[in-house]
Amino acid sequence: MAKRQAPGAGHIRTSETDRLLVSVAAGSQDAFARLYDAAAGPIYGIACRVLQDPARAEEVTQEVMLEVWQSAPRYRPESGHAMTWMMTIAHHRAVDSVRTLRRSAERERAVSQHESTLAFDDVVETVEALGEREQVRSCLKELTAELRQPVVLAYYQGLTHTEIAAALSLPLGTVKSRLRRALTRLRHCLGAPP
Amino acid sequence: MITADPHDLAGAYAADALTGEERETFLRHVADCPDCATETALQQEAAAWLALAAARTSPPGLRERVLAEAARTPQLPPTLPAQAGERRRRRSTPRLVHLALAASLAAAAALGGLAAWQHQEARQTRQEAASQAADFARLLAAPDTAFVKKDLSYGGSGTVAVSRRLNQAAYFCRGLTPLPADKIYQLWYVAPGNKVRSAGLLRAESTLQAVSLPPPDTAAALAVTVEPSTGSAKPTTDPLTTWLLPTA
Ligand SMILES: [Zn+2]
Repeated sequence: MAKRQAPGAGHIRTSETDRLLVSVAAGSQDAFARLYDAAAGPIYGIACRVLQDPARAEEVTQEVMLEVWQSAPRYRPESGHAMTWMMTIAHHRAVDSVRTLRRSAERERAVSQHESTLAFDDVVETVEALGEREQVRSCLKELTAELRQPVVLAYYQGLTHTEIAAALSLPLGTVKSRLRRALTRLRHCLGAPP
Repeated sequence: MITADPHDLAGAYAADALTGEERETFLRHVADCPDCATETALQQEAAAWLALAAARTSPPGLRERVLAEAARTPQLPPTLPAQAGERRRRRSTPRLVHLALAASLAAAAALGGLAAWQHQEARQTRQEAASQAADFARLLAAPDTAFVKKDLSYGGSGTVAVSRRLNQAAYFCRGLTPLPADKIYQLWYVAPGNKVRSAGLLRAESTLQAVSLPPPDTAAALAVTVEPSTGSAKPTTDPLTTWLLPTA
């Protein structure tokens, strides 16, 4: 793959993406084109990571961007940043899609067991591969392993907390509270996303 | 599988580690818990960073396809005005129709009769609901307001109140069959010539629900369908029920 850039990372300021989405809500296709430039890269990237299938990731990116267009009139700037809103939609769709695929193959159990080992080794690799955002990588590395593992398994591999509990041999409640603590620390380390 | 502290679920929710039913349970909790709503928003901010960090150059050609598709796709209507008051009170994820006490009283009026409503109205003390209550009260009191009630084959009952003179309408229901987390009820106005427009979204609640509908204008009927949770620009399923609205 060509030198990867994080499209939209950095060159659009926080409030600008928010404003763009508000313009999209008013029906501006021009604003939507600019919003695409800011958001398509992260959406495609997270979909690739969760789905491990560029073709499916491309479909998901298309669906997500269209949902952003259609639902923009319902975005409330006061309840969060545009980027957060869009990434929430994107991640949910990607995870939904990967779970459907796993289920439809009727090997959910086998997959999750298989992935337990895979996923586990992958945590380190996944974190190292985050080239685009040095800061995110370093904040992830600052987490203790016990906080980092669940959040990487959930967010980048789309595992459910039940699967994570099995993979890490932890009680469910522990997985839930670690996910929360991990995200809280990340946010303190990183601040609000653009 | 509900833990003792639902607050702990905000992280699992933001990381999409919950499965359908737990997700739904958590969302119901969040709707009534401002702390969890705030916490969830913060957790989602952190999670968004993880997506940004994974950014890649998107495939060539996709931009043109997406922009072309958007250009021919209508956008969804903004959420109902009735929700504005609710949003001011709690900063939460888009949550549709659950109106305040006043609305329940209005629903009681439509479903149970005006006397019951008037009786309860005297005890109505919630300031924040006052303007909604006034809207409903005006509609319920208008001389030409008609109530069209139907028992729904899929559970519960629904009543449409419509005043042509005020060009105002409301929908009251109770006991709607709950839907999976990724589905929602959507109301539609149907005008002559089969022109369909959205009249808002409706989550299933076990209690009475009252929804302020947009002005009916020329609508001849109200219909309800099941749609994906973000709502649809046009109905994608057949109507579950249709209410014929009296003409002026
Ligand atoms: Zn709570």
